[in-house]
Amino acid sequence: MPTDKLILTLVIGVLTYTLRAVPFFLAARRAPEKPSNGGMLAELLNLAGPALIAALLALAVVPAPAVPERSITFLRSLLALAVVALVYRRIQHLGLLVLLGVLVYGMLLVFMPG
Amino acid sequence: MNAWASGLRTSLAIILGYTPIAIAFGVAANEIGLSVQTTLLVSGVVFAGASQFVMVSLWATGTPPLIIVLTTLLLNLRHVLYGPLIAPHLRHSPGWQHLLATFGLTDEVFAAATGRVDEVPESDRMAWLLGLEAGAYGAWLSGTWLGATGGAALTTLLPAIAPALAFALPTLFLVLLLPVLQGRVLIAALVAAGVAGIAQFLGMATVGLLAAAVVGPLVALVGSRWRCQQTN
Repeated sequence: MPTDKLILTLVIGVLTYTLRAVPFFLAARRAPEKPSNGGMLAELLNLAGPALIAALLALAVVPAPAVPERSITFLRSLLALAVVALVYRRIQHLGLLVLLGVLVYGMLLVFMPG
Repeated sequence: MNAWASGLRTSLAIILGYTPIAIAFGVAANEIGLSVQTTLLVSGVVFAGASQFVMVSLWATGTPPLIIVLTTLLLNLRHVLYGPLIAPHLRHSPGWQHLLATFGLTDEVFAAATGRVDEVPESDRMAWLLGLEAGAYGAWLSGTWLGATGGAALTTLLPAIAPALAFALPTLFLVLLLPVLQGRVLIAALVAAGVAGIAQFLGMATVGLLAAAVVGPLVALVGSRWRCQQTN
């Protein structure tokens, strides 16, 4: 492997790790108690977790500008997620629901091609 | 079942989603001429999906190293949000384990950990998280290896199955959210999803994610306090 690529990979790896680790250690040092112990910051932190998951879901479902056939891709995702949400009322098993989402989305790829 | 194995089992949904993406990365890296060792090193050291794709594609176009570093750094900036939300749940584990656990704090690991960590006894949480991360990391490395060595067979098979398998990740996010979607959390999630979705539509995903993490909870909190004042 060329040395320049090795160094670049290591630099990016270390910086990515720093972005993950430093805020963790700062938070662990400053706020040893659970974020559910009251106060506005604690309330915001409690809400930030689900908000971030929802934001990650939106990023995964809304196609980026470079994706071809954006509307059909978006519609497929919404339909598959709707099926999962409906089934969730009866089955609350993480693994089964994820498999169901994959299966439904796979079927929609066949029956709703772009 | 011990906590590590339980975390590993929870990672199955992530494994399902990561494998095709990692294979696609291996194939892409192979196509632009990276060796199997280099490709594996990138996945092993960086362990951050989108930025790895960007990194190797910038390599291929001869972009200056500083620009590559800054671009990947910008893409990974969202990771600063995850540590402060996970740290309070792991305060009883030793510091060296924190060093290990923070390496694997990807988007999907964060989502699964945030959604499930409270169900795990406090003393078992670190082992559970490390099991979760081991599954995700293992899938990422083995998928990369498969993609980098699989050659033409995978290049033809992948477009047919990868989109379906990759849908495991949005499904995982939804299933983690569903149990908590009520009251203020519902408002925060809806606003955050709206902000991130619009940003993604406009091609500004990273900015959107950072904004969503602030705007969603703020709107929900201010809204609920305002409603409280109205009723009092």
